[in-house]
Amino acid sequence: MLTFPFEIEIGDSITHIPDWMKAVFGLSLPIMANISEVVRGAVQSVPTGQWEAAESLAYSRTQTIWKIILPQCFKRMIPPWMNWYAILTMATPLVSLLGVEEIVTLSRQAMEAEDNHPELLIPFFGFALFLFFAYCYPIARWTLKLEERYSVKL
Amino acid sequence: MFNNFNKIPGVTSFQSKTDLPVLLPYQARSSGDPLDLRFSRWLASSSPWLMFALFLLVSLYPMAVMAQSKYTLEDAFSTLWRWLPFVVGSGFVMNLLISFFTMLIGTATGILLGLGQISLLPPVRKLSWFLPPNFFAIPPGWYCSLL
Repeated sequence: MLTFPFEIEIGDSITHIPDWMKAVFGLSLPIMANISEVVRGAVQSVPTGQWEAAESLAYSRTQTIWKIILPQCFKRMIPPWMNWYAILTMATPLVSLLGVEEIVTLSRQAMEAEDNHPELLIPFFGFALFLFFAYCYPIARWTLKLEERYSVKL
Repeated sequence: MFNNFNKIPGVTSFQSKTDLPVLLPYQARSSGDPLDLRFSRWLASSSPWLMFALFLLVSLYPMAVMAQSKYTLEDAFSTLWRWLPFVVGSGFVMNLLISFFTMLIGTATGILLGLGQISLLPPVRKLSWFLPPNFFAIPPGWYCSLL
């Protein structure tokens, strides 16, 4: 992320890129890779009969993908997509390494302002843990429910 | 009577009686779960109260040590309470903001890359297959240290 430019100069106008936006670009690369696998897996999970039926109705390949295959994929992509959202949310404190002002950075600053008592560590970081847990755990439960609903039942 | 129709030889537990060689179907694990996800699945499917009990246990344990110091637990928690709006309002909201925009960009580009993987054009397809495992599908932590 340090390699991303902090400002873009086009002629006279200078656009500043905030540090958290650079973190967004950096973190979106692994998400992009994994979402691409999710999309490909969902497309391949659609029965081949759908492709053949579309071909027999004279749909072009682009039409088949956008009008027939992807609408069927959408539903089954939601659970893995939510999984990745939860994983990503848990990974966001990593950007504190770069000094982006998020919860871990600010907790540390707050503790420093309070004379760095070691007794503050557990309440502050425990609170951060609790926040992430309270945010991600319902997502995990909901994902599981959706997975069960959309799973193929034999 | 209809139960007989559910028994497919070699697929259900019903033993077929034949002297011909039979190719048995592929036996997937329980419901086709990848092994790696077992712990996560167990965690997500266990009772919510078990999780909260574990969380309490893990967070209460170090406090037994802290009880010996002069800076009491109440002091620590009142300090946390004082800083709470700051930590949540500008800290956690920023985390959610980052995760939201990352998901937005990651999903948009990921769909393009995923469609590239099934493209009929060989250069596009090969590049889309080559990029993720080699460059992008690595744990997010590496990006912070590498890039």
